[in-house]
Amino acid sequence: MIYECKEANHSMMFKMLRNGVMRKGIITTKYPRERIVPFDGDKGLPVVSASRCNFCAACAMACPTGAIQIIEQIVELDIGACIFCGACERACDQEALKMSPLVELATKKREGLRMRY
Amino acid sequence: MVETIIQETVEELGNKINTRIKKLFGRSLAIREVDAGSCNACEVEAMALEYPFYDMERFGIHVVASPRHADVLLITGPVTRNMELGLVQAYKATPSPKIVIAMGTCAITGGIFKDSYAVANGVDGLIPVDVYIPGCPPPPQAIMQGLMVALDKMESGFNASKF
Amino acid sequence: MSAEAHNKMTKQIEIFDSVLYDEEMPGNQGVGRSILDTLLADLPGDVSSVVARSEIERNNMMLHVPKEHFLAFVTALVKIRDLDLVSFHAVDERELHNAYRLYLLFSMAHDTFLTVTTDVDPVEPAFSSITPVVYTANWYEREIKDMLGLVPEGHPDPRPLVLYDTWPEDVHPLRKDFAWNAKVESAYNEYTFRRVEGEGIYEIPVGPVHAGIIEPGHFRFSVAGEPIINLEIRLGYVHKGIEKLSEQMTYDRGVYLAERISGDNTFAHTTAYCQAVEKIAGVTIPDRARYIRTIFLECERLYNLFRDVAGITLVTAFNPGAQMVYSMQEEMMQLNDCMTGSRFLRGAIRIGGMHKDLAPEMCQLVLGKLDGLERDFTIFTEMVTHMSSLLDRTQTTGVITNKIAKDLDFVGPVARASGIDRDVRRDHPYAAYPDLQFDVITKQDGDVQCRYLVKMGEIHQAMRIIRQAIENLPGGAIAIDVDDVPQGKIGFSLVEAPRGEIIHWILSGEKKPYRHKIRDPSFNNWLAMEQAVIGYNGNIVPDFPLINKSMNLSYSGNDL
Repeated sequence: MIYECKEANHSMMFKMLRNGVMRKGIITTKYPRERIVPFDGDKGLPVVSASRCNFCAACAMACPTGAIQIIEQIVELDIGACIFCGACERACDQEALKMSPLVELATKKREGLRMRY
Repeated sequence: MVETIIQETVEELGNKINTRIKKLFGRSLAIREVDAGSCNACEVEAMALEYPFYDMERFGIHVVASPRHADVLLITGPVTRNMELGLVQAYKATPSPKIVIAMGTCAITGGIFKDSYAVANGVDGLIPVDVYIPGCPPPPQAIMQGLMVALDKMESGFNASKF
Repeated sequence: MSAEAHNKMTKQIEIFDSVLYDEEMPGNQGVGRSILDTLLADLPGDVSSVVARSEIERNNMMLHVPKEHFLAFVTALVKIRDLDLVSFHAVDERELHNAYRLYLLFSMAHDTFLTVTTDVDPVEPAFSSITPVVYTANWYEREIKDMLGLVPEGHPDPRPLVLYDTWPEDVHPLRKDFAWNAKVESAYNEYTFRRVEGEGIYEIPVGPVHAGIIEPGHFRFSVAGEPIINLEIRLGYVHKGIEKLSEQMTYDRGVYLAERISGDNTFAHTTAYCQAVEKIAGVTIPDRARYIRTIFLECERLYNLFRDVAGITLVTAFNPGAQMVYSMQEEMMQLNDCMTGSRFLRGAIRIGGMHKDLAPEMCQLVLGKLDGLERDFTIFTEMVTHMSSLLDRTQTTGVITNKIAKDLDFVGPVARASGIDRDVRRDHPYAAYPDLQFDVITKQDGDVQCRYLVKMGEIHQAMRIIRQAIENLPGGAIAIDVDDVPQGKIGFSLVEAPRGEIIHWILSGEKKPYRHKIRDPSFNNWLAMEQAVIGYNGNIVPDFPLINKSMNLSYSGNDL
C-alpha cells in the first residue's frame, strides 16, 4: 500500500514543533543542579538501623549473591555484589533493614563500595 | 531516624554539587561501550542517556563508533569466556590516557551469575578499572553521576562508614 | 474419517469430559481432547504400533518411542497434523534410568500439546537427526550436541553453537558429572564459515563489538558490490551458563535468575517460570494476582514496543520523530518505577502470586498516563504513515515470505507481519487473558513497513487490555504460599513476550530444578535475519541496520 503524501515535508516539521515543545515545554531535566528523586523509590541502597538489628543473620542467608556478611556485631554490605532485589528487606523481621531511594553510588575505589553499619 | 540521616546528607551533597558545578565543564568525553555478556538491561539504561529527558550531550559526552576514537571504555556484563578476547583487544586499541568504567553489579563482581563455568567474575581481573557504578541496572541518573565522578566534577557517593 | 462419524465421536468424548476429567483450563476442552484421542488412530498402523507408552495429562499427550523408529514416527506425524515445534531438548537422566532422554515438544490447535520422548544409550550417544523433516530443529540439535554431547546423525551443519574457539572438544556442561563452577582450560579450535566464491565477491565481517550501544554478535556478509549474497550469523558471545546455574538454585532464588535472562523481557520470563513451578506444585493463584500479572505484562509490552517503533524511525534518519517516541518510552518506564520501584518491573513477582499490590490511586495514575500517551502516539502515527521519505525506505525492504516463516517457525510480531496468525495469548491462554477482549494484528507482505504497522497496532491493543484489566480488577489476596513442590514432575508454560513466545520447561528435582529448559523467542527468529537480507529482493548493505532494528532480537536470550 502506498500512502499519498498529504502535505509538503517542510510543514511536517512545524506540525511536530506544535505538538512537541510548544505544547509540552522543555522536558529535559536539570540534573545535576536538581536531583531526580524516584517516585516512592525503594530499590536503592539498603540501609540498616543499628538500634533495631539483633544480628540474627536472616538477611545474610536470604541474599542470593552473598553480599551481606555479619562480623562481630557489624553488618557489612558489599554494594558491588548487591543486585537490589529486596530479599533482605523481606527477610528481616525486626524491620531494621530498609531499601532507601539512594541510587547514586559510583566510587573510584573498590573499597568505597563496602558499607559498614 | 534513618530518614533524617539521609535527608541531611542529601542537603550537604546538594550544596557541594552546586558549588562545584559553578566551574564550567572544560572537557568533553567520547565513550565506547563494550558489552561483555550483560542481559541487556544496562544497555537500555545507557541508551536512555541519549534521549531528550536526560540528554548527556549537553555536557559534551557522546558515544563514538570505534575504540580508537574513545576516551572512556564503558563495560557492562560479567565477562563471559567468549568475550574475553574481544574485551582485551578493545582495551588495547583505545589510546592513552583512558578511563575504564565498570557499570552494573555484573561488571564489578559477576552479579547473580557469579562463579559460573562460563564467566570470569567481573572486569577487575582482566583490566584495571577507574570508576565503579553499582546497580542492577543502574538508573540513568546513577550513570550520569558515575560519568561525572570520572570527570572529577562530582563527589563520590554516600559512604555510611562515616557514621 | 467422515464428518458425521467425527461429530458423533466428538459428542461422545464431550460427555466423557464432563463426567470423568477434571478440567481447569478455558477454551475448547472437548474439541482439544478429541484431537488428542484421535491422534494415534489417524496414524498408519505400522507407525502407531511402535509407540511404547502413551498417556494424556490435562492437555498434554506424551508418547514414548524407541530410538530406532524415532525418525519414521516424526515423519508420519508431520504429515497428518499441523504441528509447531516448541522445544527440542535432552536431559541427562543417567542417574534415574541409565539413559539420556530426548523431549520433542509440539503445540497444536485448540490449546493442546504433544511430547514425543525417546531414550539414547550412553554407550553410543547418537540419534538420527530430524532436521531434514522438521526444519526448525536445526539449532536445537546443535545445542544438544554442544551441551550434552549427543551427536545428531545426518544433520546438515554440525558446527558448535556456543562452545567454539577456546573451549576444548569434550566439554559438555549440562551433563551431571560437570560441576556448575568448574574451571575449564583453554584450547584452540578452528571455526569455518561458509564461503561464497566468484569474481568480485568479498566478505565483510562485522565483529563482536558493534558500533553503538548494543550487544555482541558476529555477522559475516558475502557481497558483490552492494547487494548481499549471503549472511552468516554466529552468536554465543554472551553465553553465561544460565541453564546450569538454575539447577543449583532453589525455586525462590531461581526467580532472580529468571529476571536476568533478557533484561527488557524481565516480567515475561519470570511469569513463565513461576507458572511452570505453580503447575508442578498444583496450586491456583488468586484472581487478583492473575489480573495484576496481566497488567504488568502489558506495561512491559508497551515500553518494548515504543522502543522498537522509535528504533526503526531512528535508523531511517527521522531523528525528531524517534525522540518523540523515545520520550514516551521514558514515561512508561517512570510509570513502572511508580508501580513497583524498579524501572524494569523487577522484584514484583514471586512463586504463588505477587509481592507488590496496586493501590486504587495508582490505577488512576496509570489510566491518566495511558490517555496522554495514546493521544501523542496517534499524532505520531498519523504523521509517519504519510511521510514519503520514510515509506520509501521501509516498503519492500527485508521481505520474509509466508512460506519461509511457516517452515522455520518464526514467532512474534515478525511472524504476524508475514501472515502467520499465531499469538499465545489467544491460542494457549494464561493469567487473565481468557476474560479479556483483544485483537491479533496480522499483515501479509512481510517487509519492514508491515512489521512497523503490526507493532503500532499492538500498542493500541495493549492499552485496551490494560484498561479492561484495571476496570475489572477483583479484590482479595495477592499471593498464596507454595511450600512443597513435588519431585520428578514435569511442568511447562508458554507466555507471549513482546518479541514472541517464551517457554520454560522444568523437570523438578529435590527442592531445585533437575533440568530447566528455557527457549526465548530470539532463538527461533535469528534465522529470519539470514533470510530477510538476501539481495535478490533488492536489499543492499546499508539496509542491514534497518532490518536488524525492525526485528529487534535479543542476543542474551538466544545464548543463555
